[in-house]
Amino acid sequence: MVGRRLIRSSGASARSRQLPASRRAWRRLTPYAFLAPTIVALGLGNAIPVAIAVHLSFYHTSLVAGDERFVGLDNYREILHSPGFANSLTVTTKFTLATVIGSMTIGLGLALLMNGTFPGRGLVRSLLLIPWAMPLVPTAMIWRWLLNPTFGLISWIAQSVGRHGSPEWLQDPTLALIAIIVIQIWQLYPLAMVLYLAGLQNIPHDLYEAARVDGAGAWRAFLHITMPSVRGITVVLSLLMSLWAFGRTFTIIFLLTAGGPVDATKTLTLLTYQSAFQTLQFGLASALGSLVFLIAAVFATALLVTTRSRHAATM
Amino acid sequence: MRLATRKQRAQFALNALRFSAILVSLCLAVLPLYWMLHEAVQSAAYRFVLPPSLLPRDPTTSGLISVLSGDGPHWLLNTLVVAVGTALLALVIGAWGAYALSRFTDRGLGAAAYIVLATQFMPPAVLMIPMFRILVYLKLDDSLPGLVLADLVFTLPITTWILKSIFDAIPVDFEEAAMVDGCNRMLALWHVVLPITLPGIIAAGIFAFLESWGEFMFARTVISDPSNWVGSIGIASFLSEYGPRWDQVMATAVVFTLPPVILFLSVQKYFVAALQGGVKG
Repeated sequence: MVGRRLIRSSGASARSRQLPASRRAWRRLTPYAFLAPTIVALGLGNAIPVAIAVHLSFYHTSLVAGDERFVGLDNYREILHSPGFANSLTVTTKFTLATVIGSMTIGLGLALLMNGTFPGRGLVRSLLLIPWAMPLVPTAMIWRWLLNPTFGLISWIAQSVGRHGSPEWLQDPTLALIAIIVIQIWQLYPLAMVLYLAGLQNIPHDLYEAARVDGAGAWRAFLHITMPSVRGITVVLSLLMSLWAFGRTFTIIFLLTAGGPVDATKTLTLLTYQSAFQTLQFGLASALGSLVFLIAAVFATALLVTTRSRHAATM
Repeated sequence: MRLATRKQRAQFALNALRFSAILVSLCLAVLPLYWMLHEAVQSAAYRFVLPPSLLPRDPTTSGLISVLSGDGPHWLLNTLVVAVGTALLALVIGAWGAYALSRFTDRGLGAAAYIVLATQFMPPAVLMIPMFRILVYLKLDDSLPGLVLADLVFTLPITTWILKSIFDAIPVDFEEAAMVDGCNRMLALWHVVLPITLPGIIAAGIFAFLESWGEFMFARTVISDPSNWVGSIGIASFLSEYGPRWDQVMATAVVFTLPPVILFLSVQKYFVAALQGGVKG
C-alpha cells in the first residue's frame, strides 16, 4: 500500500507538477479528447436531429416543399385533445408495465434456476439466450405464423386443449395486446437473466449460510439477501427496459398488428411513425415525439434521483 | 430412516419442479426458431394440413435453394456490409468515449454519461425525419453508407455503455503501472488495455452487428432501390406484396436468422462476461 503510494507520487503526480502549463492543460483536457468522437457522433446523430424535431414541432408542415408555417403550440394542443393520443398513452403504459415487469420477473426466476448446478447448465443457458439473438423481422414472421388462427401451431394447441376452437389472436383487441406483450417479454427476458445471473454469482455464500443458521427460510433469505444484493441491477434494467418499451419498440408491433385491431396495440411509437410516414404530418409527429421525449426524460431522471438518494440513505 | 426418506422426498419433489421449469422454459425459448426451420424444410403440400407434425414431413431443401438462387445472396451481402460497417464504426468511435466514461470521473463526465442515456429518450421514428433530411443533404439517402450512419446513431449509445462496463472491469493499476514504466497513455492502451479487453470489445462489436443486422425501421425509411435492400426489408416485402407466401417467408427468415444466432452462440460466453463485468462495478 505504502509502496504503491510511493511509486505513484514519484511517478505520475510528481512528474505532472514539473510539467509546463500547456502540458498540464492538455492533461486536464485528455478526458474530453477521448470523449470527442462519441460526442461528435451523438451530436450529429442525436442532438441535432432532436433539435430539428423540437423546432419542427412548432410548425405546420404539408407535402408541398417549403410550405411550413409557424403555429406555436397548436400541434401540442391538437395532440393533447385528440382521443388517439389518450388511447396510445394508455396502450403504451400497459405495454411498458407488463413487458418490464414480465421480462424482469422471468429473467430473475430463470437466473435463480441457472444459479444452481446441474448437468448441461452451460448449454441450457446458451439456448435460453436464443430469443435475444433472433433478428426482429424473422421473429415477427414466425410468431405471425404460429398465431395463424387456422394453421398456426399455437392455435392448434389452443384448439385441442380448449373447447371453443381457437380465437383469432391478432383480431381481438385484448388478445392482440397480450400477444404483443408476450412476444416482447419472450425476446427481452434473456437480458434480465444474464444480468441477474451475474448479480447472483457475486453474492457471498456465507450470507446464506448465516441466514440458515439464524433459522431463516428460503423465502426470507430471498427477500433479505438476494433482492437487496441485486437492487442495482433491478434499477438499471427497469430504467433501460422502460425507456425501450415506452419509446422505441416498433418492428414487432408494426409487423404483427400495425397498431390494430381498432388501435388496441397502437403505442406512441406506432402513432408517431404513422403520423410521420403514412399521413406525412411531420410537424405533428415531431410534437408527439417531443412529448414522448419529455415523458421519458422526466421518468428516467426521477428514477435515477430517487434510487440514488435511497442508496445514500442505506449507506 | 423415515425422516431421511421424507427429506429426500421433498428434495426430490423440488428437483423435479426445477427440472420441469427449466424444460418448459427451454421449449418456449427455442420453439419459434425450431418451427421456423420446420416450416422452411417441410414440403409445401403439408403446410396447410392439420394436425401439424412435430417433425417436418417430406422434408425438402427446395425452398432454401430457391432463396439462395434468387435475391437471397444479394440481400445477405447488403446486410453483411451494413452490419459489419456499423459494428466497426461503433467500436472505433465508442471505445474512446467508453474509456473516458470509465476512467475519468468528474462532474463534466457524469453529464456525459447522462447524455448517453438521454439518446434513448426520443422515439427513433421522430429522429428519422431530420436524419433523412441530413442524409439527403449529404447525398447518402437510399444508399448502404447512409443506412450505416443511421444504424450507427441507433447502436452507438448501447455499444458505448457495454464497452464502458468492459473497461470498468479492468483495474486502473494495469495501465498506471505501464504509464509509470514510461509508456504514455496511448501506448499503455495499445499494449496493456487492448489485449486484456479484446474478447469484451469483440462481444460489444457483435452486439452492434446483431442490432444492425436485424434493424428494420431505418432500413425501410432510408432504402428504397431494390438493389440496396437488406434482409429485413426483403422478408417484410413478402408480407405486403403477395400476402404472406409462407414457404418463401420461412426459407428467407431461416437464411437471415441462422447466421446471427450461430455467431451469437459461438461468442455468447464473452458477451455474457462483458455484460457481467459491468454489473460488478
